[in-house]
Amino acid sequence: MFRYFIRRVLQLIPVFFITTLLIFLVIRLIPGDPVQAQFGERRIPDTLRANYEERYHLNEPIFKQYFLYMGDVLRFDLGDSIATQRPINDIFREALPRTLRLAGLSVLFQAVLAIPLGVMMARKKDTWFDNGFLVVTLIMLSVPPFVLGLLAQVYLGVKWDIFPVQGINDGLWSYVLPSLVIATSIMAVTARLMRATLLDVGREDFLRTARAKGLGERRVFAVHGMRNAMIPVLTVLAIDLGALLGGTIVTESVFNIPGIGFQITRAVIQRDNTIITGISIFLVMAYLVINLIVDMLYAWLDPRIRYE
Amino acid sequence: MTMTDPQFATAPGLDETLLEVQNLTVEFHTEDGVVRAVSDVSWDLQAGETLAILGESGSGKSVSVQAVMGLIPMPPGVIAGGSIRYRGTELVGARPAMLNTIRGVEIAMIFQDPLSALNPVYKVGWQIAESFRVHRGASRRDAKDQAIALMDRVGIPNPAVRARQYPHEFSGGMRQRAMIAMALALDPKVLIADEPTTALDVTVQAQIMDLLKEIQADTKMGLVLITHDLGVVASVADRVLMMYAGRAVETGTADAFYAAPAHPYSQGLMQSVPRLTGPLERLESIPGTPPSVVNLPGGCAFSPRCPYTIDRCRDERPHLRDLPDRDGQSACHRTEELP
Repeated sequence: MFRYFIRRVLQLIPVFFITTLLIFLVIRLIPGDPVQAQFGERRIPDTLRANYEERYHLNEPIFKQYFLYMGDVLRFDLGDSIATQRPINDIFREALPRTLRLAGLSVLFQAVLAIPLGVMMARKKDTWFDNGFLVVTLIMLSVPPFVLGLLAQVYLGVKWDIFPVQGINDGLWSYVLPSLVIATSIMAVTARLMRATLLDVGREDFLRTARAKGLGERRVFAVHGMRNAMIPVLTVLAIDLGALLGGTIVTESVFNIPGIGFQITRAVIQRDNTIITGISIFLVMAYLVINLIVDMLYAWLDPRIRYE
Repeated sequence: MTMTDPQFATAPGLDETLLEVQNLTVEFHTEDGVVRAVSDVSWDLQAGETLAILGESGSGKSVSVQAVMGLIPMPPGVIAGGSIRYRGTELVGARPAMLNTIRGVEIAMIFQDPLSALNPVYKVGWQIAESFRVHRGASRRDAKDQAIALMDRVGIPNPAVRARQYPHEFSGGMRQRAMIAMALALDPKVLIADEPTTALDVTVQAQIMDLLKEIQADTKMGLVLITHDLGVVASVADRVLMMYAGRAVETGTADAFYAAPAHPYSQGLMQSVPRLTGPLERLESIPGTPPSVVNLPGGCAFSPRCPYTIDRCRDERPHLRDLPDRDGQSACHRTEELP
């Protein structure tokens, strides 16, 4: 298990440098002058431009820029916003907890709602319950989040006044509705996946062995069935958490939550290249770490993987 | 959790009938209609005895023992008739909690493919120890020690190391030994072996059969051996039950069966077994294919393939009748006239 871990970590290093280099290059390749973009149509005094180029290393060759930048990144310094001169670390400190709450709640909803739903569907296969929820989950998958978000705001927020309509002024409670909206489509995937894998595992010979050992049906299901069926479901949940860390641009704007997605939107509109790079590189790191955790979970759940 | 039912606490006497299956009928309700996988089959098993249930794929031999263990998925399966008694206790329709005091405890089972029959995500030792923990309430350490002792008994080298490995790290023969260790955990009085050697290499097959024989000699347990391999049966079985299309077509002692098979189907099977002695001849095969159990012919199910078929065979189903010249029964209208 430890050697497997080390191997996975070593694999991450080249992936990290290649993806960050690609991000860095792509953003530098966007046509237009990021310094000029901060001043609109006005002419920039030469001293001011020199100041900017000095501060953001824009006068250096591009690969040198990359290494200078990565040097800072590895010291956990993402630099300053080119538009506001605010340290990007500060922006993260403010926006990330909001997105984390949103992503965490959303994954929690998936786990506590979708997994039991999938289990129930599998146990009641081909009944009205199962068929009904197969249709419901299909609808959940088909409705785009901005439609669902607006509907939720109108009914649950305004008309029935159960949840706050927007903003983050009600503590964790303000995140519940947007999390549910984000979770909806993935909940449908998780529930259907849970159902399908459980039905697959249900046909396995080792469950027959467990019954032949005289184990109670509950133990057969919980100890011998669930662990095998959880492998794909946990993977989906973990990868989803990684994706949600990038902020959900649509839902964050519909519900007016100033998280990571909100910052990306703002940075793109303002051509704030340093923020775009910083957030992208942070997302790469988050994704790599979460994938490492998924791989470890995988190996823990299924010992056959460790030896491949 | 549950202790052995007191009624089974005493060891069975050598002549005691352990299992009694009477007129068992098992059906599966499928989209293509009702499949009668087992029809009106009866057999019994004494302590210390080996009963071989023979037949090809689809003959109902596995289904009939799965019914004993309560392993038939219901639905679509249903036990449409008959009774299964373990030392006098009826198992058909028994509550699951009652069944779980018998299966794994009094009656154990091993399966054809030991890789898929073992749970891939748990250590082998843990899977063997599970029986002690669940049925005897043993402590983790105690159960583990007993599991290692069992692995040693079934001939797994380095049991303490092997107990910490997973099924995929075992070879086929070692996996089947682990299955046997798991089955033997609680000293069952009956072991049902469903094609235990089919998935194994030929050399390993003999080792596994030897192991089963040796364990049986030690414990005096009853052994039900399901197989399509006539060679395996010859070396271990005391009695034989031949099945075809869900019905018993011949029963008798293994010696008599091998000396002179009575039913035309048994005779055909025997002729299709290659022999190492005697003149080299072309192997016989039985013409035709086994019938689908969805639409069985009205009379004898074997009649379309039988060389001795007369009109009566197509119209009237033969029942098991005592053989005229020896101990045993055959379900054939022309038993007396056959060679």
